[in-house]
Amino acid sequence: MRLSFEDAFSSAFEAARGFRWTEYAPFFWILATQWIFLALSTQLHTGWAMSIVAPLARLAGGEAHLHYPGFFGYLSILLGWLESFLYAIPGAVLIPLALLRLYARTDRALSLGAGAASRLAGAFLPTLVSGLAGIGAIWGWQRYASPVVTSSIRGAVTGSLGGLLGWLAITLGSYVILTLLLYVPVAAVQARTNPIRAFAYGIRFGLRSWPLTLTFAILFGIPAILVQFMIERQGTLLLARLRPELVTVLLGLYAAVTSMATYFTYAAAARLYRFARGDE
Amino acid sequence: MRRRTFRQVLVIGTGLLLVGCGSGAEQAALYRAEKLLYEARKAETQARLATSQPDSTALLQVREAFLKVKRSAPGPYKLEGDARGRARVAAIMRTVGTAEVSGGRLALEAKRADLALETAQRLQSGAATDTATARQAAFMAVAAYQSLRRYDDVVAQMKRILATYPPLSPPPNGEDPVLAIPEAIVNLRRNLGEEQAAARELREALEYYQGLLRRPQTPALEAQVRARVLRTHLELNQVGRALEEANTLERLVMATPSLRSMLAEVGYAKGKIKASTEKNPSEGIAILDRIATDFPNSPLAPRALFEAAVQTESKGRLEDARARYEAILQRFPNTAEVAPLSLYRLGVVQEKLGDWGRAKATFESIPVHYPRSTAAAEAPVAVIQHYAREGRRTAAELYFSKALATYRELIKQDSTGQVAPLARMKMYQIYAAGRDSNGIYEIADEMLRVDRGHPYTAQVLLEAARAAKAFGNSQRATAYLRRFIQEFPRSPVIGDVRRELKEHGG
Repeated sequence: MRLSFEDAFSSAFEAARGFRWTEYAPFFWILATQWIFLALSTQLHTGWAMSIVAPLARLAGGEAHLHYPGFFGYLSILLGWLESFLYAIPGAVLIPLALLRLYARTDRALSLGAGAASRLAGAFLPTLVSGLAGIGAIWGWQRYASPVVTSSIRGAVTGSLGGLLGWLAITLGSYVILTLLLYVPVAAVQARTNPIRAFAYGIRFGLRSWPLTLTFAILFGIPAILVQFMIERQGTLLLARLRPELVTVLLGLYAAVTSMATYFTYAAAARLYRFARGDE
Repeated sequence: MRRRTFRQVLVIGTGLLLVGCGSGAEQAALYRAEKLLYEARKAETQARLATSQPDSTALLQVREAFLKVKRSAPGPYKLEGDARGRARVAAIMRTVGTAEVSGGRLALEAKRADLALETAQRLQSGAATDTATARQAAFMAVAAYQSLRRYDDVVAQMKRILATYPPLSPPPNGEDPVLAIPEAIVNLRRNLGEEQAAARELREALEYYQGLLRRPQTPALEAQVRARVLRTHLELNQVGRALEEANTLERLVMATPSLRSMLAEVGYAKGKIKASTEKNPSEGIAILDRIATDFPNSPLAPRALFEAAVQTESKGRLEDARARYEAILQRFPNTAEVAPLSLYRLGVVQEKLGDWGRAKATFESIPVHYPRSTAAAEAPVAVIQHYAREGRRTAAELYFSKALATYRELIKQDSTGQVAPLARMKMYQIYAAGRDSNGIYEIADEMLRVDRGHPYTAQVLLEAARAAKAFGNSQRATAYLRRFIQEFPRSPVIGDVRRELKEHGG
């Protein structure tokens, strides 16, 4: 079945219209963890908060940044690592759980009981692998490819516009990688599958629907991109002129809009996948 | 089995958390101190942005913000444990020390030298393991003693610094302030009018610098020490040794490309020696002129130009001298060391050239442009002396009130600076010249109150006692002599004063 932009938009529209707390809840747990971490970051003057955040910073290789106010300049990087961990490891359970709850609208048996548990267990490995692969690919993109992309864009377009376009290219590049792997958890929670098949189906569907998925993923991600832009491009202003702690508010907002965008993107992707493959 | 595993995990987890909490508490203390220091610095910036010169209340409020840092991490600090732990404790000590030093600096600025001194003394005794802080505190103590006009303590403290802290290898384009201390001691003695003591300190300075050269130093530091030795030889008029030292310095500088900027020092010394010793000073003056053009960013550039102007003036080439003084004022108007003096010399040269109108305007502009310079205190006297030389006594007396108003303004602008005692001394001389007994008593009493221990006060007390006796006020004369004995018991003239007091029947 050939997919059109109309199909993609109707899936996205339905996802946006059909928000349900129970389906979103697994993403909220990830968000809540991020918020708790950010709240701890504002309490580093206390021993207990420092003894939780410092080992995490050490793990991420950022012990040297545990100083005021420089820590708030580094916080977005540290939160990025935490976000990657949360979406990859606990996310390997929570994302399939959210998808199962979404599919349970049409199949009540999936929301409870042994059927749901076995699908969740089956989805864990492919989701985990796709999550880790996504982190690796984005890290590689940002570390190795982005300097080349940025410098070539800056070579073509000078001034602040060049800088802005370079930044946008790097950000959108990450979206491209994520949308390719987006369908692995969706395929993994389907009935009558196994981890290898789920992974292969997910990647294949990701490639097939790639421009459509990228479009609605970016649409849902616009608020997150805007907040990220503000943090990355105006961070120095916040640190030098205003209160450094304001960074945590912006990062909390970023985590919230990213969480919502991820939920809506998965909800739209699940609908599009079902629409394309029919009820299994 | 499962329960046992769970229990083991719980025990290990709690243990790890507790271990983490230990270092976490230290790291948190450092973070807390850094945060409060950041906030205090921000408060200071805001206070300075709100008004160009914050008043003492505002400054002391900001100081309070700095003092919070110490309260947030009160110590005691012990450099123990592993390398990471020791580094953390050292960082806490450094942060607290930086805040304390900033607090002291603000106390000094708020004219609360007593508070600054208290901080400096505490830091010097408590920061034994943090040399950087102790060093800063030692310098702060100097400034505090200076503000309190405890000049003997100033000298003692500076000598303590010399004995405790060897000079460090300089940062790029910098110099360790320790190297400037011997010169500061000499200048202090000169400002106090103690020429003999200044000469003794100059010789001690030379010994100190030569002592440093006996130990191996980095080329940069060695060059700076040699430059100091060279300047001291010049000041001591030891021309041969100065020339020898200039040649040694030149060889060192030529062998080290990064030290090329110090060629200015060599050129300055050689130029000064040639200009002052040779019959025809033109070559020396030309060398000095070249320094100002070849090394315009060197601190020696204005000094070289000034030296050239002085040499030219002493040879009677007044037009050339005037051109050079004007060049200094145009190119280096903010050089406190030579700009006020150049303006003063310009006035003198203009007077010698017969342009009194312009010379008077020049003298009168010095207190306006450089109110904190000794030249500002000399300028009104220069005008009075001009009238006296011309025999225009009435004009001189009419100028007294203007000169007194100028001195009052100078004192108002920098009541605790080094110019204030000199300005009061000059005021005394004007009152004495005008035989104004009220003025004489008023200024003598004021100096007793605000310039305690200053050699000018000693001089004024003796002169005021004689003036009071001449005015027939023997009671006041006796009182001044008694105060002299009380305030200056170690004065070399104390025996004479005691005798004089006995004669007064005191």
